[in-house]
Amino acid sequence: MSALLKVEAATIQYETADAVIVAVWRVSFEVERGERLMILGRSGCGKSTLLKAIGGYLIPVEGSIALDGAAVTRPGPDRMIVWQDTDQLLPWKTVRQNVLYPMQLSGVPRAEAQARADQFIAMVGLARAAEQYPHQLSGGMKMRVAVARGLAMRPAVLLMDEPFAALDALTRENMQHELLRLQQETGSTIVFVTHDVHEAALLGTRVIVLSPFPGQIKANLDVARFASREELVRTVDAVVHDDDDDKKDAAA
Amino acid sequence: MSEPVHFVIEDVPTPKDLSTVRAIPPLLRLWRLAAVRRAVVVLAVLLIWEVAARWTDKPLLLPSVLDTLAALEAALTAPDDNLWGYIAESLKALSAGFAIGTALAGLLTIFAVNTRIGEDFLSTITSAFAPLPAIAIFPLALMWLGISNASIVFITTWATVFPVAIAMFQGFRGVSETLRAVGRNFGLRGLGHTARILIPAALPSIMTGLRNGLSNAFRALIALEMVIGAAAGSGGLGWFVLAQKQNLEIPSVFAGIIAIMGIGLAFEGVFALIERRTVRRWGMLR
Repeated sequence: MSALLKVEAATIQYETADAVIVAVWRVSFEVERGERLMILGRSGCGKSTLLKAIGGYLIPVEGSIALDGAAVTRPGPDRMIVWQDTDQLLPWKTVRQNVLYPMQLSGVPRAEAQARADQFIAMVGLARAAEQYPHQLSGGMKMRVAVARGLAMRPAVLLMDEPFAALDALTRENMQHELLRLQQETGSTIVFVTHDVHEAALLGTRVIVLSPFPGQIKANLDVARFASREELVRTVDAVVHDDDDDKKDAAA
Repeated sequence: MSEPVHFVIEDVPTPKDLSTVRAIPPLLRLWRLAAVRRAVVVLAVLLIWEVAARWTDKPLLLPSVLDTLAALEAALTAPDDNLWGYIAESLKALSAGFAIGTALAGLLTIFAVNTRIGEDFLSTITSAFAPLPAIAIFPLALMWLGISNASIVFITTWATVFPVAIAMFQGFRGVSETLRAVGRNFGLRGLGHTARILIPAALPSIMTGLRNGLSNAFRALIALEMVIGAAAGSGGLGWFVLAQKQNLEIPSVFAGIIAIMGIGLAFEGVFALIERRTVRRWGMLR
């Protein structure tokens, strides 16, 4: 069986007011069904740009991104996204309506959409808040709704762009464990962007380390091959530091 | 390494008499209602008016409150040629102009949101025409359309378009990148994206624009009815006020002004109600 998501020698650019930035340069990797791929790197390494390209918001100028064998050409609900911004829910819809809405737009039959919405709202522990509006929820609760909305669509892959970075430490830790549990219960495929080594080690089945200017893959690590999380963290740190030294040498 | 300290506080006393649950005196509670305070303000103004009317004792210049209220009641209940007819006349003209103006503003906004030249057009036109009172283009309307309903609709449309368009445009522009991206993630594009994401997300600004557009159009309409009514000998509320003045029915002049204010307040009430059921309920406006 071929990989679910295939990124092949993809170069991704975006335009600012006065320049075209090459954010990701000839990056290749694959994601299998049921994997939790972590894209790890510092700010500016192109990790969010890469996620946006998988999301269909940016098209590679070179190389290709394909989902299930079909090239990604535009955003779509087969790649539901959970953003970092806690204001990603539609404020004029209740929790339940927010989870239902993308399913309604995609033509999921009404009864099934409602059953799925209720199921996933319950799974993220918000059954009692289902009729509330987003402004009545805390940041962590909003993030749970966004995760429920994403998973209820049963996307081919759930894309997550530093979803827990804006949350307080305790809430973040809770959310990380909940995400693991949800992913294991649903068998979803997740591509998750983060700048936090420990988060990557905790959540990933595979960790890709990106280095900046332009974004390139420094390491593609299979988490199962490491004896412990600490060892994985040490390896990633070593990769990042090597990269720093290379950049300094180049600058000297 | 020292042992972690564990301790349990036993026997925490429960306060018997919680000072936080004492009742607020009924009069103070009443005073906390905005409606009550406003009613007091209105009564005070009416009282000052009544005192001033009795003290000056010139009913042709300043009629008493009671005379005015009697005139208002008489005008509202007259078997024919009553105030309701004038109100209907004004509302008919206003709704035509407001509807056309809002539709035009919507088109201008779509144009401005989607193209750079549209944006330049809207911002240039609005900043050029903003300082111009709508009634100031009356001579042009008179030239092109004459003394007619068309003139009235033209000017109320004009008075509606710019405040509505500029607020809609700013509202659309203020929709966050995240919400736009969320809409596209759902597979929405083009008009579907506009209708399902941009319009609800911009609703607080759109409501403000509609509110300003309507009151601007209403003010222009009343002024216009005085000018056009004088020539045509008929019209809406503006004409009613002017005609009563010419007949020296001064309490009726005041009654007409009160009716105009009442309609303005009713519009406000409708908008406040819509806002409470929508943008305030959704936490998009405090």
